[in-house]
Formats: sequence, structure tokens, C-alpha cells
Amino acid sequence: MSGNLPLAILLSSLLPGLAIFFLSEERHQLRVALNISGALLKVGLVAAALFGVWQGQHYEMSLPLVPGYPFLLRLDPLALLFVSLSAVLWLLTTIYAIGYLEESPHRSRFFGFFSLCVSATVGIAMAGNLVTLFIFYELLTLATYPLIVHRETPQAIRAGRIYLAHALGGGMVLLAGIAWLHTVAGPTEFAAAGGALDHVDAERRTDLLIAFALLVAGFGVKAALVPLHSWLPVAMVAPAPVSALLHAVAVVKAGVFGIARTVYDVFGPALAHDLGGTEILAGVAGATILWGSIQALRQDDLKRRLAYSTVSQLSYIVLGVSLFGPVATVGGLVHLVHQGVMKVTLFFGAGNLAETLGLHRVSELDGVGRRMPWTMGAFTLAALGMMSVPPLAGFVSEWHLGLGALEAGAPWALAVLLVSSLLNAAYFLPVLHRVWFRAPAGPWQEQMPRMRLETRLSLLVPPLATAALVVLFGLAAGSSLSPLAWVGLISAQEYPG
Amino acid sequence: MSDAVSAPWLMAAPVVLPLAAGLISVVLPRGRAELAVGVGALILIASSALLQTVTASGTQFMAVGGWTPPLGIGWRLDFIAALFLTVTALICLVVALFARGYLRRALPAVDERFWPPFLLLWAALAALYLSADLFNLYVALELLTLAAVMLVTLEGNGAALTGAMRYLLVALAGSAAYLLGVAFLYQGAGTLDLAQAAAGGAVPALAVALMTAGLMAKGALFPLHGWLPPAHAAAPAPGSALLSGLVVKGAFYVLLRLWFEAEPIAGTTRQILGLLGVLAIGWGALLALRQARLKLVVAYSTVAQLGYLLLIFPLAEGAWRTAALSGGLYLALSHSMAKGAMFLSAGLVLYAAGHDRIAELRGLASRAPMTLFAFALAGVTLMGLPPSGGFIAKWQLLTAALGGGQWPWAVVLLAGSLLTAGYTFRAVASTFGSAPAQRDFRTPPRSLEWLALGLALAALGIGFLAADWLPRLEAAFR
Amino acid sequence: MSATLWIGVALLLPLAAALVVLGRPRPAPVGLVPLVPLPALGAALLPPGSTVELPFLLLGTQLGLDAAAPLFLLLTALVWSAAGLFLAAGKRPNRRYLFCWFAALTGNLGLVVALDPITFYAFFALLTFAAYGLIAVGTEESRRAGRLYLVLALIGEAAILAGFLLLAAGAAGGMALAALYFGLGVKHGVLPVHVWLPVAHGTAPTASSAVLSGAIVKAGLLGWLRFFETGMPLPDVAGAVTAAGLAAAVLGAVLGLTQRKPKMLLGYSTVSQMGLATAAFGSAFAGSWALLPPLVGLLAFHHALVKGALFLGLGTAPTGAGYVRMGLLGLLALSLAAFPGSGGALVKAWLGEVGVDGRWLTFSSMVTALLMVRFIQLAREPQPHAQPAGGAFGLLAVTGLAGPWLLLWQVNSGSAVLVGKAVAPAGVLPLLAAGVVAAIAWGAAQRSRLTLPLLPPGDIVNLLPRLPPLPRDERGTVVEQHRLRVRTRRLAAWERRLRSLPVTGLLLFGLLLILAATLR
Repeated sequence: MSGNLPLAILLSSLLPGLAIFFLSEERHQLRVALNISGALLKVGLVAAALFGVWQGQHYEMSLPLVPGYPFLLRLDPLALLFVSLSAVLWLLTTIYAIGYLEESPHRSRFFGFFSLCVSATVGIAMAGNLVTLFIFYELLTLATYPLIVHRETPQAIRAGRIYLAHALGGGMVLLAGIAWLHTVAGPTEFAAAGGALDHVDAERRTDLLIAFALLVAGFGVKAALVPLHSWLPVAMVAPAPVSALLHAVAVVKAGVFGIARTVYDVFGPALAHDLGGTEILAGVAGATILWGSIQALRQDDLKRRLAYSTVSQLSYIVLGVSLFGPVATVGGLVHLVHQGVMKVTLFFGAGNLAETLGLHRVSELDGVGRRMPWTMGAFTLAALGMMSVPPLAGFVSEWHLGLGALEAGAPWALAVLLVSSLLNAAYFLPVLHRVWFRAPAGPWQEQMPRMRLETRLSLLVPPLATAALVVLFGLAAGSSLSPLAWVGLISAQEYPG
Repeated sequence: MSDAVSAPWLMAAPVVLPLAAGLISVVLPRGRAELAVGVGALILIASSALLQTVTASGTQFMAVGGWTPPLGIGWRLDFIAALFLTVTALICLVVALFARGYLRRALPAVDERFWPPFLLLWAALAALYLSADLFNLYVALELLTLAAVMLVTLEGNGAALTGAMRYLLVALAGSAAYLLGVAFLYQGAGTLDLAQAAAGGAVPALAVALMTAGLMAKGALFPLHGWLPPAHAAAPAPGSALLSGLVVKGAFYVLLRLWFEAEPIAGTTRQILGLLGVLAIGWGALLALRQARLKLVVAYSTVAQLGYLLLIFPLAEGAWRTAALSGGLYLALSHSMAKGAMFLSAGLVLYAAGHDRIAELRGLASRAPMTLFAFALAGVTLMGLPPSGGFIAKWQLLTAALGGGQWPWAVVLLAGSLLTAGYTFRAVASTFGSAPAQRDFRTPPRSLEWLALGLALAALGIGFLAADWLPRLEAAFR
Repeated sequence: MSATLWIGVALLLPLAAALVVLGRPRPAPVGLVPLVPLPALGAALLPPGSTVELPFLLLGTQLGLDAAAPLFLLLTALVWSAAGLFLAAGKRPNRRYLFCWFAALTGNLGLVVALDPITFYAFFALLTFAAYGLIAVGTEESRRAGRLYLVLALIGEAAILAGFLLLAAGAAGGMALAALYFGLGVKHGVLPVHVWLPVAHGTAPTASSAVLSGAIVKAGLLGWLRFFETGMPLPDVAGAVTAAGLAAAVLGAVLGLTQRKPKMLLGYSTVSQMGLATAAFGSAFAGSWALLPPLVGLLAFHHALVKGALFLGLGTAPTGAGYVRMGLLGLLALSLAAFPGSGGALVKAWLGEVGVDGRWLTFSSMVTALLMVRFIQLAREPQPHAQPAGGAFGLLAVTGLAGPWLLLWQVNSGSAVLVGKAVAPAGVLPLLAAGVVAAIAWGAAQRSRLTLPLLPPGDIVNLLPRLPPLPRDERGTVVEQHRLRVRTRRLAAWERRLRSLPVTGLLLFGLLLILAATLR
């Protein structure tokens, strides 16, 4: 048992973040150095942890906190899935943000909170009990707020307000759920396949249900389950790197991850299914998938369209978690990673359009593929992945989700997934069509000049890297190093035997 | 239990030192701030030592001047008292440091008049925590009230004077009720010692009712809170921090001792008190939301937060009694620090902008980011978000509510957090954006910002001490 | 080892070509385009049963040759190669078109050798998306055709995925059958999802039409061959599928007659010919499945080369008086109409052998002959965008005419009876009948001044309600947000309601209540 590694993973972003707060705006180089070294260090640590856990090591750190609930950090496979995603995407998003925010004000504040945000995310991932998770969950809420209002425009402030109202409200519901569970079952820890609640008397099942409902509703706000989703499209006024992080890793994933923890490691799939909670959750997820996709259709603002797409895609994960069975679990959890890399690519793309050419609307994108072929190539791959086109990452998720739906005896879920894929096509293909098949209409130079990059290098590398991951995670899904293989490991733990 | 006190002077220090310093500062105007700071540091050390003593050898008793209760001044130091002494010392020290830099810059006229009432207030608080009997408590409360009223009047303008006058009137009425209650109690139980009265089993209901009402008036508990916002808003920022952070908690401290050491009255009253708490939470928060001035927002926030303390009354029942009580105390402590930090930052806003009208603060966030960060961080504690002390308190109260099957109180607790978030972020968000050209903000001194931030961080940080403090607070009520 | 090599080269070469086009801003050497499909010919000669296992790829990829694969590889490579030759002879295509060309080629070749459903689906999807770029080439008309194609193709993709998932879940029942029938059938235009096919084939550039009608439509047939399983209730639907196939065979030709543009007409002819293939499947459902792969293979081969050659010939500018071009087109038309001794006749004879109703076959020959007469008549007129490319046309035409006979003994050992039937002079009768009808109709048309097309291309798709005209800005481009606004007003109202905080709060509460109340 080694506790240092989880702590180190946490601190590798927390300490640089705190240090950055106290840097003056002009210390550009130092800030970049701190950011990048922290991010690289985190990736290295996570790689070490992955290797260690693969070897069967346990990493755990515990400090006394509230009676019954230690401050517990633990690296289990599920935690590592989320931690790895955050670490890798944080690195890329940081690089992107450095390029994106060049010369803009309040950069120390921005990067400080940016790091804090990621620290909270990995904290959520590594939390070993609900109270520890809640601590980081609320930290995340607060650390994200300054990022959303970063531009300090009236819209940004309004978005921040709406975000806070939702996130804090959800947090309170979550707290109620945690406390309720505590009064029913006493202190609990996360345990693979649950089991912590098995000792609860049969006559207290109603209480368990209420606790389940409260927990899921609390996490559901961040996971943007309809009808708790309305903060997400509004929050897209934030700068592109924030949106990227928000939609791919930090906030929304925290909610989804919380739901996964609740179902798998607090209640255990069997108990959650027994209680009947997961069925309703699956229904809500299905409704969210369709509603988000339908709303995405009518957005002209590119980032808004992507935001509604996120609403929809997140519920793929929730759906996978709530369908009973190992295959659906694989589908849901692997989408946690896949959706992350795809959506981050899309937001990078949207950010490049906004930053380089000043384009924000879908209707302005005619022919932009000629001007920014690399960016839009990455964007295209990610969009196709979202439509679950093989052999991209999204397909691997959809395949397992569909199979899991059939296995769980819920063919309606398969229908939902297929319809959603079509809707995804309906709102992404027109974008791609404009980008590649329409004649350029914008004031920019039609062909990009020779031997010059289409935009800053730091804005170009991240989307290309993530797009490569989109392809790789799909193409090499069968290899033992893929997220799919890792998720298979988790699924085997959650459904033993 | 030991009758002998291992270090009597140590126990007397928190009362005697500020009292002495206060007297000196009346006589010798020079170096008062430095004196207060030095004394504060000593008291903090002494208080920490007392905390150690209590931990090591249990509750301490001391008969001041050798007279024993019921006639003399009996002092008693248990864990709760030691904890409150320590936290008070910390807050007062920070406020002293803050006032030293702040008043000179912002309110030079107030500077020389600030220190004597401040030090008196400190001594009164310490005496309050230590008092073992109801009469001594009364004396301490009166001293506290007087010092507090003096702090309100410091700026000397119309608002301050009317505010102070209303405060004084309500407080005196409260004192009268309290004193009447004490008299009834003495008549009925033949003792002024709380423990003895409770042991006798005969606590007249009327006495308790009178004392409770009086304390509620002094503690600005709903619906007797009307005096608080104008008074607290009128005082200079360091004074407000003391008033909102500590003074109202003094009355609450007595109320808690009265009710839960003696274990008197049955259900209905407790429920009514709880209901008042709910009203306070809603009322205070809604009014805070619609205030145009920052200090009034913070003051109304105090009204709302005091409502939480009333929730202890219905919740502290049965198996969850100690959980609710320890939660309540934790709330009082963390609120003291957080509210102190909030008022200090509000003072810095006032300094930077020259006013505290929320509508005209746009652009301040760029000029004084740390001040606003401290403000927001203090708000986090008030909201009860983890890992702050407020969270620990809320957790305890929540489990007590849910575990005792009284879930409506839990809804109130959680909804109250959201309202708190509402007014905190409304204030913070108003400072975003770029300032209009004609507006000129001063940059607050960095050292003062650090003090406000430090206090806010402390409020956040005591959450990490819960594993140590909570069991001992619970034990104190067992 | 050689399997890995040949299949690897066959797939990686077009993929590499696509990437080169993508990455290199300089114009690609189009002369190399016809060479890229050629390694697939080598792969086609591999011994049947060769497989390549790639467990790390996707969810475990299996490439190789099953019974049907060699013929399909052959036809795919030949059609793409000839069309590439045509492409190389004409105006230089832009980079986007070339990229889509190679990507579609990769998909098309890949799906032929993909033995597991997921890999098949992956290549199929690549083909689907890339083919859009072959159809939509910039004009408003082609864009509309592309959209129609893509909508139907995507719905088809979803159905295919559902079908494969059902298979993987061990539920190979009626649902899986229906999903695969329609999902894969979109590609070769089963009724009623054929509507995109004539429109797309008719508006695309010549080279695209050739590969679409020649090679790409065969993907669905191959999918049917490969993934219809014994677990499905095949005998139950045999009658229905046969009927649907024959209906498409006749209806396709009849609808084609209503068209004015020869390319549209060829597109409808493809619907008709693929209907025959569908009918063959229907018959095999009832009878012996084993006979089907060689028959479908031969049918596909014949149709691919002949139809491809017809498109290429149509787009070839005549040299001199153009007798050679018209002669070849005539021969191809005869073959399609199953003139005795032609490849078409061979296929029809075989269809009769497996149990497709001979009367219907005869009738279909007659309608097809009528269609071909009409085609020849239209093909004599000068065609827009015609280019000199006699080599590609001639190559494909000759291979198409002779190929079925050369291959017959490869795929069917007991074929003497077949040959007898195929050369039986009685086969001329439906053609003669068609000639008579054509003559009468021509005379009637001369007098009545009938205007064509009688039906707009895409027939029943035009029955769908028209959406209101779109608002356009001063430059004439569609104002996207207006269109969306207009169509989604009510949706927006609901979303607004959902977004208001009180409603969200109420809903959250309601959600909690529902969750709590309905939990067991």
C-alpha cells in the first residue's frame, strides 16, 4: 500500500495551480513552465500508477476527516480510467490554452483555476468514499466558476450565475443523499461491485431508494441529465479551452463518474438493479440522449450545437451504467474516455475557428476546410466519431452499448442509440458539408499561404493529437493497451462471476 | 474533575490581559495598536495552552478571588470554552492587525477611539466563555453589549448613532428580560450555578422563557433581528467583523449552555424555535439578496446564518443530540471566522471604491482580485461547502435531521446554502467586467488583503480539524 | 503469408493514395489512378479460404476470402480501374474528389475482404461517406442528390448496425433479417428505398456513376450473402423477397422509361437489375442457399462491368462518326437485355435454374429491352461533359461482354445445361416483342408530342411533403438559422420553459418524487 502516489497525482496540478495565482501577469515563461511541467509530471505519475495497478499494486491514502469518513484517496481501475483521461487531456488543453489566451488579460487567474479544476477532477476520480468525493465535487463547482465568467461580459456573468445555481443546487441534493445514506447504512467506502449496503435491513429499502434518487439527481445536474441540463449550453460562452475541458473532462464527467460510482461501488449493480433505480435512470438517460440531439439540430452557434451534443453524448455513458450487465458497462465506461477525446477535439476545432478566423456560427463556415484543412480534418474525424462511424472511437462505444442493451433486455435502448446516431449525423453532416463542399464565402484568404501554418502551432497540435486518439482508440480497440481493454478489467470487477 | 487549577494565571489571562490593555490604551494613546496586537498574540498563546490543558486534564474550575459559588465569581473552563477562547483570540488578533493598517488609512478619525472598546469587548467575551453561573454571565453580557454599542458609534455619523441607539435599546430590553429570568431561577432553584440548578431538577419554565427571549434579542435571533443590519453596517469594518462574528455568538453561547446543560423544556418549544430559525434563514437571505450595499448584504447574511443556530433546538434530540450540538457549535465557530473575513473584505472594498454600492463596483475584480477572492472564500464557508468548517457543521446537522427522521429541516439546511450562494455570488459577480472610464479604484494594501484571506482560509481550514474536535465537542454534551 | 501481403497491399495502396492526396497540396499524378485498384486483382487470385487475423484491430478483425469474395474483388478492381482510366483521361479532378475516390475505393475493396461484421461495417461506412463526395460535386443538383443519398444511406447504416448487434447478441431473428435486408439493401436500391439511386447515379459525374452503379451497389449484395444466417426465418420471407425483387425488376425498367436523361435511365436500369438479384435471394431462401454465391457473383460481375461500361460509353465523346461507340453500347444493351448468347442471357438462365419464375424473367427481359432501345435512342444525342476516353470504355465493355463466359467454368462446374439455355434462340422473342412495342410507341410519341420526363427522377420521393422555401440572404445563400428557427419554434419554446430556473427546480423535485415513488 502506498499513499504517496495518489497524493502526488493530486498535488502535481494543485501546487502549480496555487503557485500560478501569485505570479504577476507578465511572468509568461514561468507560468508556462509551471503549467507544462505540472501536466507532464501528472501524465508520468499516472502512467506509473497504471502500470502499478496493472501489476496488482494498491495505492491508497487516508487522513482522518469527519468521524467515520476519512479523507480517502485510492487508485482503483475505475479511478485510473478517469485520472488518465484527465491527465492526458489536461496536458493538451493546457498547451491549447496557452496558445489560445496569448495576450489576453487575467491569465494567472485563469491558469490557476484551470489547474484547480483539474485537481478537483482527479480528486473526484480518486476519492475513496462519498464525502471525499463531495469535497472535490464542490471544489470543482467553485473552481470552474471563474473560468466560465473569465471574459467578464454580461453573458459570461449570466452563464456563471446559471451554472452556479445548478451546480450548487445539485451539490446540495447530493449532500442530502450522502447524509441520508449515512444515516441508513453508517459510514461506507467505495467497493467494487458494491456490497457496502448489503447489511441494511430489508425494511429500510425505501431509505436506500431515496438516497439513490438523491445521489443520482445530485450528480445528474453536472451530468446534464434532462431536465437538469440547461446550464451546459449557456456555459459555452467560456473560452474554448474551458469549454473543451468542461465538456470533455472536468465538470460533466464528474457528474457521470459520480453516477457510475454510485451505481457500481456504493450500491453495487445488483442492488441498484434490484431496487429498480437503474431502470428509471436508463429511461432518463434515453430521453436525454434524444432531447439533446434534437436541440442540437436547431443551434446555429457552433459551440452551442456542440454543447447540446454533449448533453446527448453524456447520457450514453449514463445509459451504459444503468443497463444491467457487463457489456453495457464496458460501453458506458469506455465512452467516458471516447466522448472525452472526441468532444475535446470538436471544441478545439471550434476554438480555432473562433480564434483564427473569428467564425462562430455554422452558417459562416462555408468552405472553411480549404483555409484550415488540418483543424477541420481533426474536427471531421471527431464528428464522424460522434456519429459512431467505424472504425472511430465512438463506434466502439456504440457497439458495446447496443450489445449491452440487447443483453440487458432493453431493445428500446438500442433504438434510442441508433436514432441518436442519425440525429448526430443530421446536425454534424451539414457542418461538414459546409466546411468541405461549399465555396468559401468568408473574407479570409481562400487558400492558405504556402509553408505557413493555418494557425498557431500550439492551437494545432492538440486537436491533431486528440483526433489521432479518436482514430487510435477505435482502430486499436482490440489491443490490450486500449481503453476498451482497461474498461474490460473494470467491468470484470463490477460483475464478478 | 479537578478543583485546583493547574495554572490560574493562564486561565485569567484572556480576561485580564485585554482588560488591562484596554485601560492602558485609554490612558496612553500612543502605540495602542501595537499594544493590542502584542496582547492578542499573548492571549492566543495562552488560549492554545488552555486548550492543551483541557485536553490533558479535563474541565477546570476556578473561584476568582477565592470565593466559591454561589456567591463568588466562579470560572469554569471546559473544552467548549477553551475552543471558543482560542477562536476568539485568533479572530481578535487578525482584526487587531487589520485595524492597525486599515483605520490609519481609511478612517484616521476612528483610529484613536477604536482600541479601548475593542479590548473591552475582547475581555467581556473571554469572561462570558469562562463564567460558570448565570449572574456572572449576565455581567459579561452587559459588558459585551456596552463595548459593542461603542464600536457602532465610532464613526459618529447619523446612521451610526441611530443604529447604535436601537441596538442599545433592544439589548437593554434583552438584558432586563434575562435578568428577570435569572431572578426567577434563583428564587425557584436557590442557585445561580447552571449545573447545580439542573441537578436540582427544578428549573422554572418562566425563568427559562425570559432568559431565552432576552438572549434572543441580544443575539438578533429572528424575529428580533431588526437592529442588527443597520448597526453592523454602520460600524467600521473591523468593528463589524467583531460584532457579526463574535458578539452575537456570545448570546448564542449562553443560550446553548442554558438549554443543553440543564436539559429543560420539551418538544413544542424546540420546534417553534426551529421554525423561527427557518424563517430567519429565508428572511435574512432574501433580504440580503436585495440589498444595494455590500455591508448590508453581509449583515443580513448574519441574520440568516443565526437562523441555522436555531435549528439545533429541534434537532438535538435523542440519539442525534450530540451530533446536532457539535454541529451547531462548529457552525458558530466557522461562521465567526468567515463572517469576520467577509466584513474585513467588505471594508477593503469600501476602501478601494470609496463606497460599497454593489451596482457601482464593476471592474473592481481586476483591481482587487484578492479581496474578492477572500470574500468569495468566506462565502464558501457560509454556504457549507466542503471542506470548510461550515460543511462539517452542516454535515452534522444534516445527519441529525435525517437520522432523527426530521427531514424537513434537512431541506431547509440545503436550501439555505443555495440562498447563501445567491447573495455571495451576486456581490462577487457585480465586480466583474471592465470599469467605466470615470471610475477610479484604489488598490487595497496587500497586507490587509492577506489578513482577510487568511481568516477566510482559517474558516475553510477548520474543517480539517473535525476529526479531532467533533468527538470532543460531542463528549462535552454527554 | 501471401494472403497478408496481397490483401494488405490491396487495401493499403488506396488508403495511402487517399492520404497522399490529403497531405500533398500539389496536384496528384492522375495517371496513376487506374493502377491503384490493381493489386486487388492479385488478392482475388488467392486460394479461397485464405484469412488474415488481426485481433488488435477494432474488436478483432478478420480479413480474407470466402466463397463470394474473389468474384467481387475482381469486379470491384476492374470497374474502379476502368473508371480511373476514364478519370485520368478527362479534366483534372480536384483534391477533394480524388480523396473521396480513393477513400471510397478503400472502403469498397475492404468490405469485400472483411469477414467479420464489424470490419465489414467499418469499410461499408467508409464507402458510404466517401461516396457522398463522388456524388455531390458542387452543383446545386448534385448536392441535392447527395443529400438524398446520404439520408437514406445513414438510415441504412443505423439499420445495419442494429442488425449486426442483434446477430452478435445471438438474436438472429426476424428483426435482424429485416434490419439487414433494408440496411444493406439501400445500397442496391431495394424497394422502396431505391429512390436515391437513379437520382444519384444520374447526376454524378460519369466516372462516379460508373463506380456507383458498377461496383458500389454490389456491396449490399455481398453483405446479404455474407451475413444472412440460418438462424433467421429465411423461408418465411422467401415469397415476399422474391416478389419485391421481381417488382423492382419490372418497376425499375418501367420507371426508367419515363426518364429523359439517359443517365437517369441507366440508374433505373440498375434498380431493375438488382431486383433480379433480390429475386434470386428470395428463391434461395426457399431452396438451396449453397447455389446462391456463385450465381450472385456472376450476376454482380456481369452487371458491374456492363453497367459501368454503359456509363463510361455514354460519357465518351464519339470519335469520327461514332459507330464503334454506338456499336459497343448496342452490344452492351443487348447483353443487359439477355440476348441469346450474351452474358445477360447466361445469368437469366441461371436465375431460372434456381427457381425464379421464368415468365417473370421473360417479362423483365422484355421491359429491359424496351428500356435499352430507349437508351440507345437517347445515347445518340450528344452528351454534356463528354470526353474522349475510348480506352477505358472499350476495355470495360469487352471484359463485360466476354467475362461471364470466361468465368462460368470457374464458378459453376455443371454448366452445360445453363449454356444450352443461354444460347437458346427462344430468348430473342421478348426482345422482338420489345422492338415491336418500341416501334409503336415511337410512332405514337411522334404524333402526341409527349414530353419527358413523365415522372421526376426519384419517383416516390417527390411525394414527400415539400418543406417551405428557405429564407435567403441578399447573396442568395440560405440563411441557416432562419430555417432552423422556423422549423423548431415549438421546440425552442419547450426548451425555454425547461431552462427557466423555477421549472428546473420543480422538475428536479418532480424527478426526485417520481424516482422515489416508483422505486420498488
